[in-house]
Amino acid sequence: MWDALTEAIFGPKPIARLAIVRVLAPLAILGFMSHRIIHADDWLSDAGFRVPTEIWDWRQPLPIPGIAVWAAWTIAIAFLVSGLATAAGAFTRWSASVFTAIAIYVALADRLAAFTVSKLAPMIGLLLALTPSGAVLSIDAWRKRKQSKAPLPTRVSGGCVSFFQIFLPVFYVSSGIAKAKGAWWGDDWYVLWSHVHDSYQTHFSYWLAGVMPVWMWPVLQVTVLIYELGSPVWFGLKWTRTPALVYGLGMHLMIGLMFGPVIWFSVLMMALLVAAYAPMRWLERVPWIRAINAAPAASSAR
Amino acid sequence: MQARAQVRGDIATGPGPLWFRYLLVAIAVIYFWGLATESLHKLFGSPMPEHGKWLRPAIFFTQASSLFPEADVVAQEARLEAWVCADNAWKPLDPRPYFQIETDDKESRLQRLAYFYPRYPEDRVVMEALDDYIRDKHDTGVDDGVHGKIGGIRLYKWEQKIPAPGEPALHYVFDPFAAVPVHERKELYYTRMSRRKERCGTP
Repeated sequence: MWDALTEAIFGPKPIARLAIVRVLAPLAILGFMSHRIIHADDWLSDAGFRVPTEIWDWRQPLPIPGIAVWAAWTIAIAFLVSGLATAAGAFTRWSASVFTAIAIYVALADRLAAFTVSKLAPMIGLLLALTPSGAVLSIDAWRKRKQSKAPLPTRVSGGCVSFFQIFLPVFYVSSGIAKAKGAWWGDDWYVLWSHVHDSYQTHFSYWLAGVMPVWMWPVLQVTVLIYELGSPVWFGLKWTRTPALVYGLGMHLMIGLMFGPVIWFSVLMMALLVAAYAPMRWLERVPWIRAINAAPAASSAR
Repeated sequence: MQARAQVRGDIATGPGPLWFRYLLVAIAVIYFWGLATESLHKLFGSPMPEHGKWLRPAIFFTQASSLFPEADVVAQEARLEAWVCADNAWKPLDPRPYFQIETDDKESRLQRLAYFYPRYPEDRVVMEALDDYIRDKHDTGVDDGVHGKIGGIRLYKWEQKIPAPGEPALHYVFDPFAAVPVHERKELYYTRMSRRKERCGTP
């Protein structure tokens, strides 16, 4: 039992899964940050509004004063470049490290502009820096192939991928508990309905609120709860994994369509879901990913 | 783990020796625990412990999963008004030149400011900083829909009741100058009259 568990977590896994996180996650994070990056002076510098540093409580976990305008633009550009370099797999360990450091700084420097994506970005950047995420599908791999004809890896030590495979159910079940102990179970069957009326509203959610039968809102609410609370089971069992993946993608697609700026969180979660749990036979429909696993040693990389 | 990687040549491994990677596994476990902690406290009804100031930044990054746990009763929007010295009156002020990120939705830094503050008496310092910031920037001539010198600001929330399920949905449109019914206003801060008079130079 113990051996099976350690093999499931630490046994080799397709490196394509890690490469997908490396390509898509920084782009989703940069998508979220894009509006902040183009207003770097308002975001980070003392030219924008700053909460006074004497406030140091749960609302401002670390009081960081504003910086000079030129420094704010430098950090914003470095953030953009390091994120793009990470996605492209260029000097991946360094670029992901810089990306991580800046993600930590910007999340703490401006609590007002920090959301879930801001909190997840350092964790994702750190993982990309500490794992061999740039070993394939990357500029690093291209440079390595130019220097030597040694084959590129097709698999990666399992913990690198297992982290994301464990992260998702932990995140979901934690979110599910918060919802169930909040108003989602029994207190108010129309939580979802209540959230489509404020400034997150999109044309789609406004249209949906007008045409969807009233009874559908509690149905959607309960299915989300079942999905989130049961996610360790759904993603743990082989035969429920793919349906759970499909439901998760659908749920995040709906969140992205219905709640305006939350779309970047949705894209990020969808990228992690696909990377962690999409069947390899699906992923191998993408020629670049098929090429990674074309090596003979990859036959067991499933 | 490392031994297997050394034997299987097609397997890439992370950096460092085996102990370092075990350390990473331990950090990952702590991170997962942190991610679940807030919800577990809610599940078992135990209060969240008070953490030292220096632990807050680390904990901040794990408090990510409690998303939309409660229903909204009202749709909220923070509004700003400026005290126009020449008119001796409050006039709606467009906050977009002052808070340029995500101007039209609740990810705007102004909306977030009005969500987090003011909650406690000591938050007055934050509101006064906002007051100074708006006046200083207004004096540079930004196009905020208010002309002339201002003596202070008023920050309030517009709280629109969310319709019952089945009723026509509210159609949200951001318009900082749209009229707000008095009973839907919740005042958060205003510059005291004595300060306004002093700044405007009126008796």
